[in-house]
Amino acid sequence: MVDFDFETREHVGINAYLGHLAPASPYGREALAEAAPYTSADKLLEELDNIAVMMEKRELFPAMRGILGQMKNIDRSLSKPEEYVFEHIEIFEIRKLLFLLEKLRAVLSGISLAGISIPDFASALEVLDPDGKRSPGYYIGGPQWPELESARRRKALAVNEDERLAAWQDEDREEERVRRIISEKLHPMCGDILNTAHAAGKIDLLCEKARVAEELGCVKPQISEKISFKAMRNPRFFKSAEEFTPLDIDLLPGSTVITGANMGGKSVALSTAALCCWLSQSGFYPPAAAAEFVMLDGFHMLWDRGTKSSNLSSFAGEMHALDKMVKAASCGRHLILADELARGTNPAEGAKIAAGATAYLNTLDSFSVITTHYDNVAPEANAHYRASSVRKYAENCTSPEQLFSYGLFKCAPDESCPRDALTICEFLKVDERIMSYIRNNYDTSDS
Amino acid sequence: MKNILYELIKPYKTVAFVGLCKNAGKTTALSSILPLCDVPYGVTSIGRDGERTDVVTSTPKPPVFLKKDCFAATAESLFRSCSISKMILNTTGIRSPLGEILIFRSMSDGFAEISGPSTVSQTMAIRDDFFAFGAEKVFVDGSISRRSICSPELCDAVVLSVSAAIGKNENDVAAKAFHAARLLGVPVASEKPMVLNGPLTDSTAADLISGGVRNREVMVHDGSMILLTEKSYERLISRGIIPVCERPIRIAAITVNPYSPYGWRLDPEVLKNKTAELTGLPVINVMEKNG
Repeated sequence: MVDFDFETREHVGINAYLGHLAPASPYGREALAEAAPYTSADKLLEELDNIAVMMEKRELFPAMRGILGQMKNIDRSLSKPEEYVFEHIEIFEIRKLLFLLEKLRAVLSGISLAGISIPDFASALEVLDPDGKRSPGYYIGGPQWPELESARRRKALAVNEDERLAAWQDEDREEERVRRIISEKLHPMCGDILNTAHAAGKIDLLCEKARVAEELGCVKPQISEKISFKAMRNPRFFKSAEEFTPLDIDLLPGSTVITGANMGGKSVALSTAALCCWLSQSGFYPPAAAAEFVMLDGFHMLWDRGTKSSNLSSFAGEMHALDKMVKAASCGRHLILADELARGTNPAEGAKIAAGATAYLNTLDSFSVITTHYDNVAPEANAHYRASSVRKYAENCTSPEQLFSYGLFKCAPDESCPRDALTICEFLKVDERIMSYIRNNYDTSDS
Repeated sequence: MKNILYELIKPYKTVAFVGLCKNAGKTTALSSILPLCDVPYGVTSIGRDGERTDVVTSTPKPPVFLKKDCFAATAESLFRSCSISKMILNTTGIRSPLGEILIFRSMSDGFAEISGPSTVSQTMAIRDDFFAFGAEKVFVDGSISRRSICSPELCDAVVLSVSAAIGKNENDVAAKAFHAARLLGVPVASEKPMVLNGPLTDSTAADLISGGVRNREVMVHDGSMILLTEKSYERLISRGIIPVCERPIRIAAITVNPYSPYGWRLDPEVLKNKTAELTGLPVINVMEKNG
């Protein structure tokens, strides 16, 4: 499985979406950090169903967070070898974790989640809390350890420092013996306790997935033979949902081309489609009104990261990445995204390269989306979208929202790319001295 | 015979012991009252305290005494090495170089090395835990240059400790104690004061003076926010600029230690009397039995 790297996740808005999730426990945070596309459809469907179950149980979230928020990651103690004698503090932590898991189990009693359960640790609790009072303090001692208690009595009654010291050494030795006995009883259960702690982390994450799904207006995605998102939005680009014009996109195997004016939202549309595909397959509800997606074998994206990381020219870097991507996607079904392919070379050749790549990608069973300004690219694809249209009164516009009518519109394969660059320069209030020369050029080439 | 210091702090629930210098005797002062305390108490410190020898100057330091059924906050590695029988009540998630800070209940009498968290807000959380677990009094052992633990948000009263190490002679030590006490103990604002949102430092004082402020009260949250040298303070007063506070700090007592770790010794009676005369506060010599 090839996945988006961190920068691409940031770029397409995955990190912005995931940033809305705040699991209460370290185990939940770990599960969130490990979020990645599923490879098993069954496991993924389980997860998506579990989110739906959780969305029905929102009234339990505060109680669950209260419990989960007290958890600590004690994997290190739980993974100790069998001969290891637990420290007092470690036994305290294991005991506390078991108390919390017991409480969580009680809160979850009416909920059935696929593939996740919190078992009863009665026998471990019997060892760690023999009186069953569940009091938070943990003291190694009590009537079942008479030798230890007798050493402590001797320490209390000591009349001089030597006696006290001797009694303390006895106490120390006895306490270690007791810890050894407790450790021997605990070790066989540690594996289960550890797994259950991680299961609690998954539950923690499910709660957050459900909460964010509701807050951002997300939908349960369906596995299908095509990719289709209705009214998708991208939290990277808005603070409140109304600030983002919802976009519809349908992708079939082969290539899809998005054209449109600069600033018109081609890249945003591309990123948002990438975001929704990735979220769906990674077990999150995508921000859309309806969502169908295909289980994919890889996620690839070509975009302009600048040339900071290599000494290749931007064109060379891009072709290198294209080559790598095509090779990686040669078997299986992938999502292949290319933002303004071959824009870094001369337009005549760039157009040929973009068209050729689009034609090749159209022969694959993978889903490719290419944004471009070149005219001859869309006819090579099996679908063509135009991102937004320009309203023609640039001088009076004070915001891009006034200049553009945003959206993603399906159009004919041969519809030519918009010629709005000059309008946009006017909108951007580029200095009139240079604009007059630019306009001059437009006049001569049009005639 | 009654312990005077214990009688002075008896009315307060949370008391901070603050030293004006290293080896000021604050831990000695704290240790002198703990065996007398007849209600369950909790002890925490800002920074490591209760070591047998002082880490900085290698002079002997008294350990902190815990009665059975009292509470302490300390770091994991110190917890393991202390001879008291203990019940762990909570681990705090606060890390220190000596391990995580945890709260325990003493199940026997004994001595412990105390090393609590190093910030005021974390110390407040520890204090609240102590009270929740059943403590009726909380003692905070402060560290040098951590004046902020005097904050009235944290404690109800402060015991200020000075030693011979801070000055050349009895008068000098008394003057330094007086200056520290007048800053911490600034009065509550009376009129409509000028409000400072941060600390009142020497540079703030210089700004006030150069800004032409005169005959005006300048209010900080509490006296621990005033970090002025004697010179700056005098300069403010001479222009009628009076530092005041929103929430007062109560100084229950000043303790003096006539010994300096660097070898010299001051006259205990002269030091005590001078300090009392200047500050108008009860002064106790910690090196003298029963105050």
